[in-house]
Amino acid sequence: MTTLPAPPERRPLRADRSWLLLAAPFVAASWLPWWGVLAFFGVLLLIRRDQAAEVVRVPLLLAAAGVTVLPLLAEVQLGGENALAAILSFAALFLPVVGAAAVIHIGLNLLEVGRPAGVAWLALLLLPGVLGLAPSPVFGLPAGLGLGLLALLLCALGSTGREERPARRLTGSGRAVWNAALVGGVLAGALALGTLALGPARQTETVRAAPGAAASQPDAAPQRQSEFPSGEGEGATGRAPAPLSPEATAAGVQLPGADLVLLGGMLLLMSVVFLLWRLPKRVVDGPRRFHWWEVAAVAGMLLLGALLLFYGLSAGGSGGPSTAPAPAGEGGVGGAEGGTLEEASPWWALAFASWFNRLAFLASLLLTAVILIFAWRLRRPVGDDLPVALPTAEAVSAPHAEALHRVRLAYRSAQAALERCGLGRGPAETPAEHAARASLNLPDLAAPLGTLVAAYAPVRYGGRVTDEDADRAEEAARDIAALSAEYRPPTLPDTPDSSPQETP
Amino acid sequence: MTHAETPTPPADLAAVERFARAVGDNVARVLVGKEGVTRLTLAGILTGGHILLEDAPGTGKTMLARALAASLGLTFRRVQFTPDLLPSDVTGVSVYRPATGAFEFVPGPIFTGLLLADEINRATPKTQSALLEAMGEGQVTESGVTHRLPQPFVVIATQNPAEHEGTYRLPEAQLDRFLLKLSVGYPSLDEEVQMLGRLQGAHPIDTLGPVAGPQDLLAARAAVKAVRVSDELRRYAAALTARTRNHPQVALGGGPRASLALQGVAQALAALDGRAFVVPDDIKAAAPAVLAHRLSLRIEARLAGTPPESVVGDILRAEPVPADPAQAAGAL
Repeated sequence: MTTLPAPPERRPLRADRSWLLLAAPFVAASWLPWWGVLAFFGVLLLIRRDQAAEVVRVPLLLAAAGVTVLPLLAEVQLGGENALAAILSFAALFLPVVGAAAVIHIGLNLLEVGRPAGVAWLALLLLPGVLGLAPSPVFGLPAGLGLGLLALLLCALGSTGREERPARRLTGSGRAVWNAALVGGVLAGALALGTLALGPARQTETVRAAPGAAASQPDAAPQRQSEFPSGEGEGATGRAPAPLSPEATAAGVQLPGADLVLLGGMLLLMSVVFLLWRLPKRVVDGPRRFHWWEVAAVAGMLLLGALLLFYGLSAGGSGGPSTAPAPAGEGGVGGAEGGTLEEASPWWALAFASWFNRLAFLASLLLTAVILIFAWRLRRPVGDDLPVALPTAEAVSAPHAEALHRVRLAYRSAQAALERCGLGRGPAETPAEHAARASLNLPDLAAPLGTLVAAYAPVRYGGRVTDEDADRAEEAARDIAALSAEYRPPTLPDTPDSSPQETP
Repeated sequence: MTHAETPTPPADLAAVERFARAVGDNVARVLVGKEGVTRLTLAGILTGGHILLEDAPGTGKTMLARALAASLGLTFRRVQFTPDLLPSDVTGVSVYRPATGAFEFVPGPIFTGLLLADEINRATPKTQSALLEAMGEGQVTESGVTHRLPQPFVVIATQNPAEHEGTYRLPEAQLDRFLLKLSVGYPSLDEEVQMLGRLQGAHPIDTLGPVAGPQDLLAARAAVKAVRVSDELRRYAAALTARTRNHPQVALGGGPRASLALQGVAQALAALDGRAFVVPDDIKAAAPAVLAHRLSLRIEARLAGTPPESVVGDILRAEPVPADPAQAAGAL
């Protein structure tokens, strides 16, 4: 049972177990760069402080994903001779980070409603580190995995049930949720498709068309080490793709950039539409001051759209990276020098490319499924035509929302206490009927239950409560918990049949 | 409507509460120990519906109607329904005026504020059906001309459940027009003793004055319509009605009009308590009176003597109430 807070002083931030859910990004510490972990953590922290931002958590997490991959953008831009490798490195991080944003969102959603399946979802964040699929973190693999497991444990402990969840419906309009999730979902899907369109297999075929062209510049510029912080060797993680010979690239290592440019353009257009649609609505309907999270969500989408656009232009657009000369294979990357791509790259690099392609395909399927799940789950509870069960952000001040939430917590706490002593509410009982029945069994419960039900009815069915009501409800819940702890349900006297038989 | 529009019980809802308390207290001067049925009847009137009172003779059905009419300041007319009663005896008739050479409509007793249709099941179905248009649309059509009834217009009909000789069972369409079917019930021993003492001298109904007027009633009706019903409770009310259609003992269950009635009476009950929102208890309190008379039981259930009220009770015990706090937050 949840420990209720002390009623006298009202605190803007309530310390409850749900704060442990902020540890979710640290589950990915085994592969996510440290600034990525902090970006996700920062988004969750800010949402925890301003619960209204819950409605756009997906775009905000995607914005954090954009921040995470942003440093690699410079690497791609400055890549010059080895830009293709940088692009592939960029892609190798891009997809997992976006996937991590989706997994964090799903996992937290489940944990916030008390479903342990959220732990399994968050555990997926350990996989890239275990399998070495993504760039290694600054923490190092063992320490990162250890930190990830610890964070996973904290998240499991933070799953305190539905009522500890920040009251999202209190503060967000249905249309805002739809807008944000729709745009965020389309964005995630487009990113997945964009990464899929990278098509390493097509590179191989193209390079095969120019055999023997790689040895002409054996002392080409040395391969730039990825500027991505690494605690592991690149070969061990397999994140650095095989370098290409200049001839091979010059002969037409063409990445399907046109498609990506189109997708990026569509995303930018959608972001602008969102901007034009959502913000004027707030100008008309709501307060004049924009919420930070609205701006951040739009900015995040624009950022990711721009990233994808740049990615598409760089990968297959007008020259640029495609002319990058290939360095000699060295270290754990190059197995041979010169020649075709097969010769210039070790066999595992090609396998990685092909395998990466398959991974991207599976990931895109997964993201598509996630988007469909989002759409399905959003379909049910929200909609501007339906009366929202609780007040909207524009209509309700934060203190009022807090009072509503406190009363719900108190009622749920009292319900749990009553259930433990066998006085739980039947499914067809109204709160008042339940209170009456429980009071018949334990008359001392009548007063606190009456107080609690009186405060709960408007919360549940459409009224408003004050902080004083919430204080009274919490006090009543504590009384109920204390009384029910002492209550022992009457036991039937032992009958001769039921008494244990003595053994001779 | 949103919560923001009804943050606290508005002034008109507080007025409804005062109005209901005044009427209830006034009626209680005549009827002893009938607060429950009075409250439901008043809720039906506030919803704009008509009420069917079914009980044994001498339980106070007529007295309740008279007391309500007097308390609400409504013009009261009583029609004793008999087998030879004609529709025109209720609705009115056009008569030829030789002086003017034209037909003139003479309104029947239905043109009143509160009509007591006493022993309605003694009239023929034809006469009973003459009330359909009046009860449904608040108008009467005679000789092709439609005449609006005064507002507010309330029909309180009575019937005797024990005596079936020479009676005509009300058709389903007619029953459906009645928002509520109530039973007054016998008073307890103490209540009956108290009643004897109170009625020993002059009957208080003779001196019962109005505590509200027709305009107050119309204003209260408007306020009742503003009472909030959450979407979950709408679904709960509709689910209760839907269960009547699927119940194994029911041949014909309640229609959408029953759901509307359930919601309306629940709103009125909430308003009577001064609440700006409906709680499940309001729906549960309204359900037996709203649903039971709309059910047509299967022959097996009828032969077994199963009352429709027990079927409604079964349904109320089976349908889960939306009261879980987790549902309020929703899930994304």
